[in-house]
Amino acid sequence: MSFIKSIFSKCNGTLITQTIRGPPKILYQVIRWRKPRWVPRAKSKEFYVRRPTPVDPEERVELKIRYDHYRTAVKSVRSYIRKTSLAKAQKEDDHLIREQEEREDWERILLKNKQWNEDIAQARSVSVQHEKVYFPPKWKTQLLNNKFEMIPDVIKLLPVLEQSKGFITLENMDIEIEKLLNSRKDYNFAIDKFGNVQAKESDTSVKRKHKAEDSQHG
Amino acid sequence: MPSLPTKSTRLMVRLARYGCTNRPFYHIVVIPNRSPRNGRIIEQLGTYDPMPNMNNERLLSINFERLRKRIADGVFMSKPVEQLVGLAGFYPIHPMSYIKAERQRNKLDTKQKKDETAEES
Repeated sequence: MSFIKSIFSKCNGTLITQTIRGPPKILYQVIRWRKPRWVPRAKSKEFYVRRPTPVDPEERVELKIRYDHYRTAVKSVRSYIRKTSLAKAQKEDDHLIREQEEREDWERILLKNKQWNEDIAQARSVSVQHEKVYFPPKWKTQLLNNKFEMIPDVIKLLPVLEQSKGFITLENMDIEIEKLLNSRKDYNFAIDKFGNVQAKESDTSVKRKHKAEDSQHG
Repeated sequence: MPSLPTKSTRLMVRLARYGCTNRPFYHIVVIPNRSPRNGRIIEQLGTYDPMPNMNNERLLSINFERLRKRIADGVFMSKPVEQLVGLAGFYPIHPMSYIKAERQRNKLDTKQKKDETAEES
């Protein structure tokens, strides 16, 4: 008995052993430590016995049946979840399967994207044709009707458009470069204060000038 | 001295009461079974607002993916959580939900009968 006592003393309880004509009974009393140990039970509660919670017998029977069914159902649900999650985890562990799936996924996405692009291109070509026929740009119609006052921006642009005929584009770039390479121009000339080109001096005079400067410095 | 009876320690999914006085609000948490109600949690799985809102709804949110994972790991749920999850359609409906519903029905019936008798008299 002593070892049981030691256990219960550890659990903050009192152990009372009784031997009233028969095997010893063990009474276990929980102590809340609200009152000191020596304080007796309150006078008003001396003979108080808690009334057990009333239980509806019909409900009890029903609850028992329901609980039995519920427990089996829950057990099966839990085992199912465990199995599925295990299978999932194994699948995730398997690199080969995962890579294969990813590849298939990617291919499927690509195919879908291609299909989508084609559909859109077709729809767009139709709509663009429609627009060209039925909704020409505003400036075009206005130009045709000579209504320039309605579109000042276009008027501003006209000289630029005229100029742009002489612009160097990607198409005629090679020709233009050839042209420039073939046409040499000498920029070795002087200008006066008013920007007029002076008559070009002969090479000898330049040399002489340089010589004079050198002699001055030297 | 023989060793003390071992206390089982395991993880539970249960409700932790937040909110304030007269306004309960619960977190659905994964927590060791012996830790205090609002103790240090391992993971929050969802929330439960037991007070009906303006549309007369009681809102429950659960991360079922994580719950599934926890169940697969062998974590059990407390009774209130089991009831909630049952009503959500994830678990079978808890027996106590049926009993509660029946009690409510009976209550309404008796009230109706009372009203009828009052009207007659």
